[in-house]
Amino acid sequence: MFKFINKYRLQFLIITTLIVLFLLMSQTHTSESKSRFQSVILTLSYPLQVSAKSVASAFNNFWNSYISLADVKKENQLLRMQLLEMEEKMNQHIENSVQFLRLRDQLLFANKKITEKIFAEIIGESTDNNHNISLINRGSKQLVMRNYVVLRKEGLVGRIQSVSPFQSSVQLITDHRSRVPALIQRNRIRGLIYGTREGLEMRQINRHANIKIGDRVISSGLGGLFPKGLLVGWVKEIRHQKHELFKTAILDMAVDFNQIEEVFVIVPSKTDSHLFID
Amino acid sequence: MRIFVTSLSFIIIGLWLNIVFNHYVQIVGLKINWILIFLLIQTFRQLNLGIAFFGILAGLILDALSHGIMGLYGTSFFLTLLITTQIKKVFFANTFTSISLAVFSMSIIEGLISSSILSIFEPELEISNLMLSATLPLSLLQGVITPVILQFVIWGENLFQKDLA
Repeated sequence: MFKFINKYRLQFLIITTLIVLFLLMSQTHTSESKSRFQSVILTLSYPLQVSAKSVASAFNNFWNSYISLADVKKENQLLRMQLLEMEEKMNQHIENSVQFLRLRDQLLFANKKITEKIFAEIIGESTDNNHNISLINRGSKQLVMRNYVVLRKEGLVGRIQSVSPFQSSVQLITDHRSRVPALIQRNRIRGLIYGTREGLEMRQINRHANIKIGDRVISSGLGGLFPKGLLVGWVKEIRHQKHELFKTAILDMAVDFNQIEEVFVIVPSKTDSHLFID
Repeated sequence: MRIFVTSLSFIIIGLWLNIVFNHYVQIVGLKINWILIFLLIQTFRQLNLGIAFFGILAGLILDALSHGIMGLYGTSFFLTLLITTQIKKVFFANTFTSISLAVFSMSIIEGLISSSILSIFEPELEISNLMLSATLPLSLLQGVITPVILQFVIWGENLFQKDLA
């Protein structure tokens, strides 16, 4: 037996390695808590990513503050003009927001909750081309946990996929594994938003539903993962064949995923996870 | 020992490029798999099977920093590098053209293996679509970029191993 194993030890080593890797894959795919190894890798790669980010930021700052100084005079004049316009607009907004706050307070009076936002910077992204994952510089040390919702003021960004002490990975809603229960804000028609390589699609919309180009799409809160009322995008195109049971809407994304640098991680309130209003 | 350290250094450089550089620089929207190029070049240049086991480690690191299914790239890198060690016996790939061709072909094989495993865990994934839209152009890009990496590897080897000859 030992002679046999000794003779084919390389083959045994290869087969054993493959079995171990497959076991590891099936374990990390099914288990809710990601493996310790992943946490270690995320922790070890954190200094690399943070240092690269700070070098890039320093270079960007240098470029913006020094090189582009040539156009600063022209830009100054333009900004002064814009400032005057903005001040006028702001007066109107203040008036509107006072009214809004009063109404909102009335609305939330019975069910008041505090939601904490953790500010995070994006310091890296998925190392492969098949998944839309971003890495942020906040982890379990800052009380970030798996499945916490990530957003920007423009709208929903994604959810926390895995956490290490100093950084976390965020599964963006454009990832092909992402599903967000959603509804059309105008007439409350429900659907499910799928991430695709090209962007977002709202599928499983009732074939008789009345949807229009430009309709706002928000999260419906079903399933409990994503809170209700977060903007996801707008209907750009409607696809439906006569034989199909459901309509599909192609969405314009509220968040430009190529441009984002900062996000907020939402720490859910203990009472429930309902509408977030800034 | 020095050959081992040089190989390890190249692999670390490849990992750094994958983790940090890819975030800032993407050619035609594709993230080049630098570490795979380095591993393939190392495998073609050396007789050591240990590179395949380095491949597992590199793959596991990439798994942790992408989808989180640990072992997926570990397996695909390992299998690809094992196939490469066999191909090396019949195909000489130490010139710029031949190494380009070899990396192009092996990248396609790696893409096929990783997509096939991925489709087991994510059944909604369309392998053919993925192969055509991502793996094929990426392999082409990697094939084109390989001579530059090979030149860098030769320069590095000359720098650290010249007195060993």
